[in-house]
Amino acid sequence: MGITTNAPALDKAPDAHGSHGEGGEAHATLSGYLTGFGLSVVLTAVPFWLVMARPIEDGVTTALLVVSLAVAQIFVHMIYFLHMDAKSEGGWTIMALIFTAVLVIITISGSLWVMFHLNRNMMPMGDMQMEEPAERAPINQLAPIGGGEDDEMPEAPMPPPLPENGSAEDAAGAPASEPNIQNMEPAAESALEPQASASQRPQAPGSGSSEPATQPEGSANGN
Amino acid sequence: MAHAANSQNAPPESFFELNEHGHETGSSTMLGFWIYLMSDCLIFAVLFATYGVLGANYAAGPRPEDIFELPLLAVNTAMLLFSSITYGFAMIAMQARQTKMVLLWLAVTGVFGALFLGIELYEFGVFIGEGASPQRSGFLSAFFTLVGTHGLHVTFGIVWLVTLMVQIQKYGLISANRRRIMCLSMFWHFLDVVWIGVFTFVYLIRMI
Repeated sequence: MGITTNAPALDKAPDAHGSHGEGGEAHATLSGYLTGFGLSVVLTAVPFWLVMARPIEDGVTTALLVVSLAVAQIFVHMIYFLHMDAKSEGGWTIMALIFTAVLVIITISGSLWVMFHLNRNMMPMGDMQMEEPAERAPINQLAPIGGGEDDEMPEAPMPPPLPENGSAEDAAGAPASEPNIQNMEPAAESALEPQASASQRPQAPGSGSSEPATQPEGSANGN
Repeated sequence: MAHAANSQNAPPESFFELNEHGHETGSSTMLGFWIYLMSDCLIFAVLFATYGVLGANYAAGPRPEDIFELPLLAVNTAMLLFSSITYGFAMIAMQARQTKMVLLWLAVTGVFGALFLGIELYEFGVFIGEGASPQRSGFLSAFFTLVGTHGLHVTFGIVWLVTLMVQIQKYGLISANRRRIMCLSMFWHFLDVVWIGVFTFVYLIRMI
């Protein structure tokens, strides 16, 4: 009622309480408040129970349930306590609300999105080292078998490569130089890098004829 | 000169005055206050986003599971929820023109609000006593800023509530006071809506 009801309307209908909205105007009613309160109690108690008693083991499911219950409770508050509806103030309150909701969504999701990727790409040593062992092993196995495995090459440079084995893989592409900025020995890596890439890149078209990347060049030379 | 000419034209002036009565004034106040609340909502959105971004930067300091006490949070949430329904009772008493009941329910609302603030300040005190002060880590800075801003809103809501009770006692349920009660109602319920976001995203999600 806070939004829709104004003083003259109240003067005309002083006994409006206890009965539902008249003439499209939402008045505060005891039943409305009690309904909202009951729903709010349930929608508050359930997420607390979900987190404190953990009836559902899966964390993601629990989190999704908690968030959806919170959204439901926000709607309950909007409808039963703030008396939102599409008609109040000729629709201007709902328009302001929708506009604000859009801004809120852009602000929060945009911030989280941008900062998440910033954190990922500018990650300090701690997390890089944690990912290293998992991704390093397959690369080292692949390296001697097939120099022609181009599919693996874009992913291979992502972790800081080993100096000895890494030099062969690093020849595949320029992206290899990016992780090395964050590597433990930037001087040693960068010293190895230009030599390795300079020496191996010219060899690539000749030695690896099976590589898809070299085929256009080969055909161009043939013509 | 233009003003003098206009003042002699009766129709525009009387037209203006006719529309000025009660109806328009109260109506636009409600919409204006709603737009204020929406702008306040944006402040909280930014603070929520800050907490979302910085919430995992513990700087080797305390983590949510180290400091958060969910039973205390549940009591706190209940206080705010009770204050919402008691404010609703005050609104209903206002519609029935029961001045004393309005004052009574507003007082009960204020007590619940004060209890909420007291519990929150106690919680802050415990955190700081444990070394989890705002300057400890990004997580705690964001936490104290967001929850503290909400607490500040509740504080000013209580100040407003007490002021309003004095006015109601002095002037009764005149239309200006009724409008103020309705504005404070929106403010109070809005703070409860924000608190839903706080206890869900600041506390519960981080304790899973």
